[in-house]
Amino acid sequence: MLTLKNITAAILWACVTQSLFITSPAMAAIGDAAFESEVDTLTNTTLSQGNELDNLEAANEVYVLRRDLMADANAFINIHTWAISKDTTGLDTAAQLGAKATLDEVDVNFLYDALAQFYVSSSMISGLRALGINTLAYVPQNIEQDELLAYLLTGSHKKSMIVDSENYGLVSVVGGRNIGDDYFGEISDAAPGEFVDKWRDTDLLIRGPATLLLQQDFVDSFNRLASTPIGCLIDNVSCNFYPAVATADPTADANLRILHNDPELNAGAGEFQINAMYKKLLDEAQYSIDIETPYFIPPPELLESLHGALARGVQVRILTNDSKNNDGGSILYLASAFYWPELLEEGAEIYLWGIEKSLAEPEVFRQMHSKFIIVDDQLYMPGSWNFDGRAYYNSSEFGFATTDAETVDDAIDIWQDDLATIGVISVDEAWYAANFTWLDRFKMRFYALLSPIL
Amino acid sequence: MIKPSLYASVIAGLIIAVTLFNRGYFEDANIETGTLTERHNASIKKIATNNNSAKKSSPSSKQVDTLPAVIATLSADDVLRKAQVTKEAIKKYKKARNLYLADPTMDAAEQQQLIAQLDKVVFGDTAQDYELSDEDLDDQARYREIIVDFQHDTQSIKTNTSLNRQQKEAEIRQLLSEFIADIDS
Repeated sequence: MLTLKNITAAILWACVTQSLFITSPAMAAIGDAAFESEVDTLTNTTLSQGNELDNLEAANEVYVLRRDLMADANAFINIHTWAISKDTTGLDTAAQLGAKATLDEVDVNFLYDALAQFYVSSSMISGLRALGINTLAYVPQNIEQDELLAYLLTGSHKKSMIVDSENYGLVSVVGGRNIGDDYFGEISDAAPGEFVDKWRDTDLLIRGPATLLLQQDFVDSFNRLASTPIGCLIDNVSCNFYPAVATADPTADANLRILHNDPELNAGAGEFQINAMYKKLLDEAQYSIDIETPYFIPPPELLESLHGALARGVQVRILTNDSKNNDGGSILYLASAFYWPELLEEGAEIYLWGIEKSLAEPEVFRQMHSKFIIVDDQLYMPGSWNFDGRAYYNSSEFGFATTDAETVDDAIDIWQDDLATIGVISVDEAWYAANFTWLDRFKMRFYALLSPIL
Repeated sequence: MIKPSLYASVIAGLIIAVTLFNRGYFEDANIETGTLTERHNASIKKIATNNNSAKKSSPSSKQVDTLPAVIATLSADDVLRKAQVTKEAIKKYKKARNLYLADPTMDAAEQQQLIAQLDKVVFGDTAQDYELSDEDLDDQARYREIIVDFQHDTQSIKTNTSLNRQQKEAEIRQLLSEFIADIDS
């Protein structure tokens, strides 16, 4: 019965519920000004505006682009990589860099991870040096040498290439690719519709002001280790490292936040901007979280946030490598699988990159090496950071966050294409039960103990 | 009270378990890829790390809260030896060290700095076991000759007026391939 009391109560109830609805959108949503402001403070980074971004997916296209960019460089080529392989791609790239240094007198600075390159090929570095390239090995400087565990685990996993450009000042390619056939090669016998690249990876082309920040990061990283410094500080006009920058499309206005993990900063205490960003993204996602990572071995803080997101009803989808596609072998695969059942039970969707080996080239490993996250279809962050303990605690890493609609939409297309790739497996409880023996599960428990260093 | 024999059995069991699991891992690495890939290398590095933590009593404060105690029971040398990669690692180490010492683009200080880094990164505190041998000195002489020849040939290409830029780059590519093959032979 409608009484004044009931009507008043209804109005009050409506006000309360309405205020709740209003409150929710008023909270910082991914990508809005309040969110970005909070991220500024949280990560001590700033959002660069006015950039031009291009997602780089197809291996051969990225390779051609990189070669063209290096060919056009007149003053310098700055490369930060985990390692350069002794294979066709590595030799071609080294020869091109050597030709630029020797024939064109371009300054080529090449920063690599010491231990990684030691295992991949020491002779490649000798070749680069003999060709006049300024090579530098990344080794920990601020980790106490008696802390051997941290010393050995601390490494450089950043990947960037920065070149000067007559038209744009600077151009950068960043992301997941090191230098070798795995990253840029194709298999010869892919049938129509089948995945053709040896490895699936993701890079990002950057033009505009963000390249200046990237250049500064490279100079900082290099000079922290070098006996002879390169370049200069960003506010110093005496060197040519920070030219006026431009975009190909004058109306380009993509935002980009460059984040890093660097365990060497703060006298060895480290700076972990990417970790903080990931946690914030997982904690504040409202609709969806899409994660593409070769090695899904979540650190406890992020696992907790994933559980929280699932509890809020957020759609969580994870694409990682199947056993035969994981170059870390059974340790990394089983350590990852340890975390799946609980996530599946809570509603997460887990997919495995399980594409088959090439019959013509059975020795070629077909790995998914791409690393990115898309949140609420609003923010996209590719980079070098794997969703694992090493990236979280020990490696120097890059993350590149943008809410530029065109770039994010393109990333969503890439993500959907990846999920639709022939050979991708959807994991559910039945699949899990059918594919892991009791011994596997026993191993999982053990390997999961090692998660912080995997 | 726990009997010492029981305690020893538990430790022994853990070591055996670790060894068995890791053997499987290294088999994967050798079968699936002819060469070490990024993650394999990183994992070897990790395992080496685990062991050395047994010798060192002060792991990073960032790690100490998160690493399980069982890691301290691993021995890097043991695991590497069982995995039959120690010999290969020493070979790689000696080669890298000889390349540094043979490199005329480095001064002595830079060579020693790089070698010290290599010692630490690869072997922790055991590198003094691998002193320079006559064979190392021979290798250094050979590497030095290869590097000097390579630089000379590269300069010749640079000054060769009969070649265009594209041809010169192709020549450098060919020389580099030969250089790497010579060094690695």
